[in-house]
Amino acid sequence: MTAHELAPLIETKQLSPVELMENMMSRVNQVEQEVNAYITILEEQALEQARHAEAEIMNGLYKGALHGIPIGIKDNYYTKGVRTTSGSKFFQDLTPDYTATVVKKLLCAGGIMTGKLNMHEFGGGLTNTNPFYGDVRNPWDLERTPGGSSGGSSAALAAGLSTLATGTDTFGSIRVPAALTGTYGLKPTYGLVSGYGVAPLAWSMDHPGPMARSVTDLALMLNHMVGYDHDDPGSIKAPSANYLKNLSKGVKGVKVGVPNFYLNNLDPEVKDAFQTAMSTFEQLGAEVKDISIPELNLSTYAGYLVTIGEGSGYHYSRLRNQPEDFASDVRIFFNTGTLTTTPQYVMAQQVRRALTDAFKKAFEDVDVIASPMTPYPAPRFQDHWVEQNLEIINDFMPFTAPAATTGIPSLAVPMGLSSNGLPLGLQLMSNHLTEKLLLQVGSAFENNSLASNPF
Amino acid sequence: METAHIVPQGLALQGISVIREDIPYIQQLLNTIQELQIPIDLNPEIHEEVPLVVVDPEVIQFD
Repeated sequence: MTAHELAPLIETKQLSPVELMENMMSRVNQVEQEVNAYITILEEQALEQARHAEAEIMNGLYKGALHGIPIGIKDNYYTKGVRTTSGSKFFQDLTPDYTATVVKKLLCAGGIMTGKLNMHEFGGGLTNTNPFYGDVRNPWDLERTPGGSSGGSSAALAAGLSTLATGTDTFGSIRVPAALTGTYGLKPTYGLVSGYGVAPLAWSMDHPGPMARSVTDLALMLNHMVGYDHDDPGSIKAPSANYLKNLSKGVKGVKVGVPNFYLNNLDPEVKDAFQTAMSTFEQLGAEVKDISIPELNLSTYAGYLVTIGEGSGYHYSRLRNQPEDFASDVRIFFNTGTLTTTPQYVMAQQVRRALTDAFKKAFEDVDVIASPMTPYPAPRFQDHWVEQNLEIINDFMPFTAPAATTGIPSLAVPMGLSSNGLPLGLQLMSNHLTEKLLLQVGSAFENNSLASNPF
Repeated sequence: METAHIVPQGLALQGISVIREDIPYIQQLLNTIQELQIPIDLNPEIHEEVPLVVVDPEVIQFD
């Protein structure tokens, strides 16, 4: 069940948070060994918090729709007193003395942390292979990747090991795992959600955001995650909004743009599912039109340069002093960043401005831009996992980098299953700070497309 | 661009140990980046753009 479905049952005391958490932990104990979604499971702590939530609710102190809801936290969000590894051997013993702003907000609203979710080391990959904490496996097919780097989050949601989850997205790390597991993920506008207390991959492209099993749950989480934070230099002062408000408004009259850039080199089944999705929007009253954004072919360059440049800067002393402690694929990624040049980094930032301007121009004509989220469904894990991660980054970056480099919001929603039963994802993007519209459009698709919710 | 010698030399110059197995992959990634740079080289007007930066308004305002 989704948080939106559970909340009224908790509020009206038909469902006890303790019962809910006991069931969740029972499921975790049954399935976790196969999926490996968690690095740290907080069973005792979560049950204690559930008992506390139950006592509060019984005493008339219901806090709202997150009260008593299980939330998995990606292991790059700092949590006071709870080990936070960032999926890395380097931080295997790191127990922070403070909690990330976003986690504080979610827990203050009554959410209960189920544990710390597995991830690709430092967010530096899209497969969620992890030589230190084990690979996360896709619940739809355990031989396949759940996507990364928030692969623990997506796998936990898909397998019913958490009701909600946090993710982070630098070049696709929320949206790719959502797409490959049939779950939902939102990369918000850059700076809308505080990154304070979230271990960086590349500061200027890091986006913390919500992951869930429905658009409504994304909106619910986002309501509690946004807000200016003076501790985060990238945090923005945005007008407050209720992201749940327009979810049932539909898409009549909404203009959906489809750049031809995204329609090349697609798996035929992805192409078919995407065309069906666009037909669904037309049937719902949206206007779907082809558009051209020539600058899109520059975004992968910027995505690479900024990620590996800033990432290698953050990890520079570790690269020099303990290179063997990195996962090989992540070390290769960051070491490459030490060999790119300052002019290349500056050119990447110039590309980001040009691309942002191009998107702004496109949004004068359309409200939302749509594309497949990934060009093919979840691949099988390969023995040559280092090469596989680099290949998948290269294949997926054209789809993920445009929104990451420009900071526009991007939503991943399921758009059906392949003939062999694997989830396919749809990407919807909109102008800065128009998450409300984006979630409205995503919700209309979710509620009117048989393909949207695979569960 | 021939990068075979650049990778180990570039890493060594920075005091980064060269792990032999990594070199082909780093070369491959650098080659990918070079290829992706071609459209930028064909559009020199991109160099006129002011680079996007993370503006730190708190520092500017109060320091």
